[in-house]
Amino acid sequence: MAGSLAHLYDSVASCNKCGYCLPFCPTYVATGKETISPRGRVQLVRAIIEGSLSDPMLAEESLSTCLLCKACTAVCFSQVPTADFVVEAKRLLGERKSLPFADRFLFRWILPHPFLFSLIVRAVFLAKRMGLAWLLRPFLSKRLRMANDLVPKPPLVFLRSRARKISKPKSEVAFFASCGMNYLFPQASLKSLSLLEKAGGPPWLWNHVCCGLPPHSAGDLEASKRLARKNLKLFEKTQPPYIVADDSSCSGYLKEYGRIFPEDPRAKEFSFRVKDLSEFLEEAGFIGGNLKGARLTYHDPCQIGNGFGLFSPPRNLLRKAGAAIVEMEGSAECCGGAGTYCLNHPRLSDEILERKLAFIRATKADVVTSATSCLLHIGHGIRRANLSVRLAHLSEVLAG
Amino acid sequence: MMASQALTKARLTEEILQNLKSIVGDENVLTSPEALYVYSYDAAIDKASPDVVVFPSNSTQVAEIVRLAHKNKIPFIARGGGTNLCGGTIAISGGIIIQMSKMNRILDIDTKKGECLVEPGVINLHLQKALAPLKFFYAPDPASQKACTLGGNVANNSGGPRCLKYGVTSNHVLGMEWVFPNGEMSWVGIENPGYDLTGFLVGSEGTLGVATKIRLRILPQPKNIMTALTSFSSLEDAIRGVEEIVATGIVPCALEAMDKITIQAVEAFVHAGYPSQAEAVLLIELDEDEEANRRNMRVIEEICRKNHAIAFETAIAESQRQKLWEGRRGSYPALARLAPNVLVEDGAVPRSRLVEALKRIQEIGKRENLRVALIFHAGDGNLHPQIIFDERNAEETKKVKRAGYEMLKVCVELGGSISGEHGVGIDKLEAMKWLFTPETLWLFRRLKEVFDPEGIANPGKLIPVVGRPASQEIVGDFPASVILAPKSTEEASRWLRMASHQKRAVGIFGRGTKRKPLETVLLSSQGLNAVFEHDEKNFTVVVAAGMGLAELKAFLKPRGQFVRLWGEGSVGGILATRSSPSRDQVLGMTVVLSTGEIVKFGAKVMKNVAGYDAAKLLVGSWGTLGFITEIILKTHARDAASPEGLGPVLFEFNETFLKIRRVFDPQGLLNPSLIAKRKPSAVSGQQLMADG
Repeated sequence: MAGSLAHLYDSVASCNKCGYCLPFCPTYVATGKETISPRGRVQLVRAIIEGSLSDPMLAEESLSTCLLCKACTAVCFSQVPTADFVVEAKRLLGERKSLPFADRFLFRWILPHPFLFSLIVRAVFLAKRMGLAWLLRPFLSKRLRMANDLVPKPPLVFLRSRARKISKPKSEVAFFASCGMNYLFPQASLKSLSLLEKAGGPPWLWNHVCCGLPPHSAGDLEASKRLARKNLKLFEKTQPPYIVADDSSCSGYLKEYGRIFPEDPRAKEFSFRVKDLSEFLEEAGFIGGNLKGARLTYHDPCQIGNGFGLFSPPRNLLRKAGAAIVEMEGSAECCGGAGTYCLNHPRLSDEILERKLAFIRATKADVVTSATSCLLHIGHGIRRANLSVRLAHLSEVLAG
Repeated sequence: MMASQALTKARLTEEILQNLKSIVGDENVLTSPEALYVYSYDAAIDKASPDVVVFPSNSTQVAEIVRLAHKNKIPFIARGGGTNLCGGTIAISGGIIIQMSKMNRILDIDTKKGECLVEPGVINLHLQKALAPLKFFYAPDPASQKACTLGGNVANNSGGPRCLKYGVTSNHVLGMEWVFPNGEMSWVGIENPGYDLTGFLVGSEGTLGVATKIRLRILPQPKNIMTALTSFSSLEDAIRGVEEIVATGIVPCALEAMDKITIQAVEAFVHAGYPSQAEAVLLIELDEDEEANRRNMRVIEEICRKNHAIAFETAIAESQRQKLWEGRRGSYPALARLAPNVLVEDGAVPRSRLVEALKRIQEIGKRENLRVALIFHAGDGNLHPQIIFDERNAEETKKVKRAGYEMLKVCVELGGSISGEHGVGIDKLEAMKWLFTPETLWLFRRLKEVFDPEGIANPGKLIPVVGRPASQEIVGDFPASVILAPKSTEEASRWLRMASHQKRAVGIFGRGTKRKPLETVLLSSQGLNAVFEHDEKNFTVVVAAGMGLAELKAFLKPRGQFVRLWGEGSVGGILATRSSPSRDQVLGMTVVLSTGEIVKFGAKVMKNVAGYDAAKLLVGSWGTLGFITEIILKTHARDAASPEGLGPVLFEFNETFLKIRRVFDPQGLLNPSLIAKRKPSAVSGQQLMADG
C-alpha cells in the first residue's frame, strides 16, 4: 500500500513547501483552498507515504481535482513533478477503489485496437447525428450529457479515411494522428498534413495506437504502459526520423515516454524524435498562410506549454503569416478541459473556463490553439456564452 | 514534528461548527482530516493541525468569526499564502484557521493621493501588476511576492530588496480596518493623533487581531533604473564593498549579495546570466535621475574594483534585468534543488558590522559541517544564511536548528536583531530572550494580554512566555519640590520607582517648550544630553532624549550627516509630542516605565521585526506611557527640506489608548493632568497648549 509509493519519497521530499506554485494553479485560483492546490497535493502524497494520513482515500478529492496541467512544475524552482505524484497516487487509490468499468474497458480493450475504436466512435457519432442523443437525453448519465454538449456536430468521415492520398508510406515525417483530432477535427488535421507537405515533403500516416495520456491521467498506468509499449514496438519496426503530432496534448505526452518509461531503452530515442506540429514547422523554417490584418491570441495547451516551454513556435508561425498576436493574460493557464476532467469536475472546470474566457474576451482577438481538449472546451464556453470570438486549430489558420 | 502545545487543545463543539457554517456557508468550512492536514504547515518545518478552516469573504464575516472564537475561547489564526518561514501560521493550540484567500479584491487605487485600499488576501505581486499600467508601484517586494499576501505582509512587517531605499511594510501602511481579538472592528490610521496604533499593529503576527482592509501608500515608478551586476572571487570582498558603498551615503534602491552556492542553484533553473564561477555577486540598482545614477554608479564601481571585483557590468537589457531579479527572488526555493529542506535564517546587523557577521556565520557553518548558502539584502544589513538539509535526518535537523540559533546570537552580539523581515513565529521565541530585556518582554506580554486576555489570537507566537522580573529596592526620598533632571536612564529609573512606591503623580517633560506640567514631582529629560554613539558607516545615531535637536544637528553637520526631524526643543520632546514627522526615522528607544522598569525597543538596524514595534506608541504619547531616555535615529547623507505644518499634536484619550496606558503605567502616575483634562467639556487641544 503505502510502500508502493515509497519510490517517490525522495522526489516528494524535494518540495520544501515554499508555496510559490499556489497562485499558478488554476484549481487553487478557483477555490482558494490548500486542499485543491499543488502544495497540498504533494504534501498529501507525502503524508500517504509517511503514513500520517489515516486513510489514503482521504486524498481522493485533492488528487482527482488536479488538472495535471503542470503549471506548478513550470514555476517551481525545484521542478517538483506534482502531476507525476498525483498520477502515481491515483494508481494507488485505483487499486483500492477501481476505476469506473467503462473507463477501464475503454483503456484496456478498445484504445489498443484502433479499428475497433473507430467502429465504435462511428456508431456513436452516427447515432448522435440521427438525433438519437437528443431522444435519449433524459436517459443519459450526466457525464454523457455533458460530453454530448461538447461535440455539437461530430464528423462521420475521419482523418484516416480521408488522408490516404496525402500520405506517403515511410517518408521522413511520421504523422501521429491523435484520436481526438482524427475523430473530431479531421478537417484541421487534413490542413496539418498539407502544411507538413509544404514544409518537409509529404508525411506518412503512421500506424499507431492512442498515446496513452487518457489512461495515464486516470491513474491506469498499466493501460497507459500497454499503449506506449505498442507504439514503441511499431516505432522500432519503422524508425521514422520525425514523429509529428498536431494535438499538443499527445505530442507533449509522447515526449514524456522517455521519462515515464525509463526502463525501456527505446522510449528515450522515441521521445527525442517527437515534435509538436508547431515546433516542427518552425524548425523547418516554414513560412505560410495569409493572416494580414488578423488579430489573434494563442492559448497554450498544457502538455506542451507548461510541460515543455514551447511557447514561441506557434506565435512565431502566426506572426510570420502576418497576424498580430495579442497576448491574453495567463495564456498558459489550463482552460479546464483537461481531457475528461471537464466531465468529472464540471463545476470546477466551469470556473476555470470562465476565467479563461474573460482573458480571451479582454484581448478582443480570435483564439488559436492546438489540442482537441482545448478546442472542445473553449469552443463549448464560447457557444454557451454566445461570444463572437472565433476559435480554430493552428493548422486551420495557417493553411487558410 | 509537532510543536509543543502552548495551550490546552481547544474544544470545538458541533454547535460552534454550525455557527461557523451559518457565518460563511457550509462549503467554506473545512474539517475533514486531509484538509486539516494541509493546513497544518506553512513554509517552515513544524506542523500543527487546526480544528477547522474557514474561508470568509468579507470583514463582517471575519469579525463574526472572531467574536465566536472569543465567546468560546477558541484560538484563531489568520492565514494568507502560507509562505511564513518561522511557523507563524500553524495552529499549535488548535482552533480556527481564518483563510483569507477569498478576500482578495483590490478595492481602490487612487494615484492622485498615492494610496490604494486592498483586502488582506491580495497577493503582493497582483497589486504590483495592477499598479504597473498606472506607472505606480508598491515598495515592499518580498522574494515570495508571487505567492505571499498583503495581509501576511502586514502581519510580519515584510521587507524585500527595495526596502533599502523605500522602507518596509510598516512605512507604507496608512491605515487598516482591524478586528481585535474580542471581535470589535475599527479603523486605525496613521493620521489619527495619539499612540500610533497602526505602526504598533503592523508586525504583530496575528497576536493582536486581524487586518481586514489595508490602505497602502503607492509610489510613482522611478523613470531611470540603472542596474549593475558585479562579481568577486571572495564573498568577503563583496561584503566589504557593500560596507563601503553604504558608508558613502549613496542609497541604491537595491543592494543584494549572493554567494556561489546560491548563484549555481539559481542558474540551474533560471539561466539568468549570473556568473556561475564567481564566489559572490552583488546586484545593485539605482533609481535617481540619469545624471545622479551615472555619477553614483561610478563611485560604486570604483569601490567594487578597489575590493577586487572581477567584473562590473552595467549594460544590462531590461529582459536580462527581469531574469536577474527572477533569479534573486527564486534563490530560496532554488536551493531546494540541493536538498529537501532549507532553513532560511533572517538576522540583521548594523551595516558597519557586515564583514564581521559574515565571517562568524561562515565559521559556524564550517564548525557544524553544514552546507550554508548566503543571500544578503546586504545594503540594509539583513542577512539570510540558508542552511540546506533533509528534515528526515533528525540528527542533522537538530544540528541545523542549533547552528541557526548561533547565527542569530551573532547578530544580537553585533548589536543587531534576530529578524529583519520574516518574523518570530515559533522558531525564534527563544531568541527573543537574547534580544530583549526581561522587562521589555514582560511589557510585550502585558500588551498582548490587554488586547487578548483570553490568549486566543495566534497563541504561542512572537512573544515568549516570561514571568514578571524582580522589582528593585527603593532607596531614599524625593528632594522637596525640585525639577528632577536625571543624568542617566538608571537614575530616571530610581526616581520613577520611588514615585511608584509613594504613588506620586509625575509630570514628565523635556525642555518645557511645549508644556509645563502641573504634577508635584517633575521629571525632565534636560539632564540627558549626549550623543552616545554615531555610527557613521551605518548611518545611525544614538542620542539621549534631552539633547536639543539643534545641538544634534550641529554635531552631525561637520560629519556630513543629517537627521530628518524638525522643530524646537529636545529630540525626546519632539518625538513625544509628535511635533515633527518621524515615523520612518526612529529605529529604537529606551524608555523608563512608571514602575521604574527600563524597556528597550529596536536596534541600530534598518530592518527589525522582532517583537512589537512599541516605540511607535511612544511617539506622540506626551509622556503618558513612559519617560524616553535614549533614541536611535537614522541619519542621512543629505538634508531634506522642512515640511509644512510642524508643531505638537494633541489627542483625546479613547478606550484603546487607556488600555495601552494601563499596561505601561498601571497606577496612572505619568502626566495624569493630561488625561484628567479629557472630560466631556474637555479643553480643546489649542487651549491645552495655551496652558502649557
